[in-house]
Amino acid sequence: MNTLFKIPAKLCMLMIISLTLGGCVATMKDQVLDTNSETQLQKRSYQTRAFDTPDKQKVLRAVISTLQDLGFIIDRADATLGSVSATKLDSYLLKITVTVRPRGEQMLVRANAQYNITPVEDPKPYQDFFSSLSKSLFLQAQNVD
Amino acid sequence: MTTSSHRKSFGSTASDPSTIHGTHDSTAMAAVHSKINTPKHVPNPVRRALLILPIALTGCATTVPPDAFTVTKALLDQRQLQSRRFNGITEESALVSSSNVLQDMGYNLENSEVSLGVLTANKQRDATDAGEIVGAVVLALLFGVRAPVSKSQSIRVSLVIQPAGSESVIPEFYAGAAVSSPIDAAKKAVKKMPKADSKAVIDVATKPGNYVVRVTFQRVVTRTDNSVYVETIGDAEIYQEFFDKLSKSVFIEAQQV
Repeated sequence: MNTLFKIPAKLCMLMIISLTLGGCVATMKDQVLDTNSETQLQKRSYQTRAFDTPDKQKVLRAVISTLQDLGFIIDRADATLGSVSATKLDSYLLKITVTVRPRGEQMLVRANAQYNITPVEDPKPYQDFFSSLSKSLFLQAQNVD
Repeated sequence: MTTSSHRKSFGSTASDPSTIHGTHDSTAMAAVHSKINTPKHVPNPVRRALLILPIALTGCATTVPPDAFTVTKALLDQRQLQSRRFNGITEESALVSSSNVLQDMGYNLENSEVSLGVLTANKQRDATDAGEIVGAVVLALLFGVRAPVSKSQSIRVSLVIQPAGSESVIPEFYAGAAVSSPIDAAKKAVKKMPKADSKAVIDVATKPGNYVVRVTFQRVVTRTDNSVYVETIGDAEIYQEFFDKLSKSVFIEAQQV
């Protein structure tokens, strides 16, 4: 009799676990392609800013020094690709890749970050980053449509 | 978003014993019913659910700390510690000197981009610390707890050379970070500076040969229980000694030319 009721108790625990985890655990496809939450367009809009300068080198240098000021170390940089990857270790792991590419007379700067093992999908950290970048560039960060 | 879903499932747990209660009402089950209703049995799923709740929450509700992308006072101090200015050198010779110094210190070069003045290197080393072991032994003797101690570490270093100039301006307006427009803040900061200083900044920026070298060390330490902790090294002595070595190396490099 006792065991008969222990089994439903365990079952209900399993149900709770699957219910709670089901809310946040994505499938492998979702994790590989990061397609579970927002659209590509949404993501691009808060991860991208335009700066009024044709000087790619200058923007790349500013990206590097801004990341350093924010406590990151530069993992790698490539002037041709216009990409900079950096890591911050502060009891957490924060990784960021920033790319700089020309668009007309402007430079488009795109950042995407990862906090421990989750993608950063909150626009606020990106705003903070672009605000710091615009300070060291002496240029206003413009939203891109 | 996640919180509400947890609450829902938590609510269903609490009501679970009552549903069992309702479906089985034969007399044979009566004894069991009373058992389930005793405080010893009923709160168990509830208690377990309460235990699961925080685990489930931390499992997916991860957000970036609010100051992760802002320049704090501590970061400005770090910047001071990690930067040195070298006058009358070429960027290339500074990079060559730096890579030599890093090699002297046993680092393996990992990545470099000369046109952006970036160099990264790493090494793996032992991380056993005498003081830490003594502490662990004392803990074990007093409380019978075996505390894990540092075992090995991976040390990474990134070094960036930038033309000197802007570095003396930036901290000024980071200090007034609350200002709405960064451009206004920047203009204000330049205005606030003494005339001679702002002129010096412009002179330095346009004159070739003056560079700021910024170096940062980070380490990932593995403990004896295979847990890992990460940190950016903030020890002033380490940076001081590194720059002493770099100065010598830059000097030697300059003599050869």
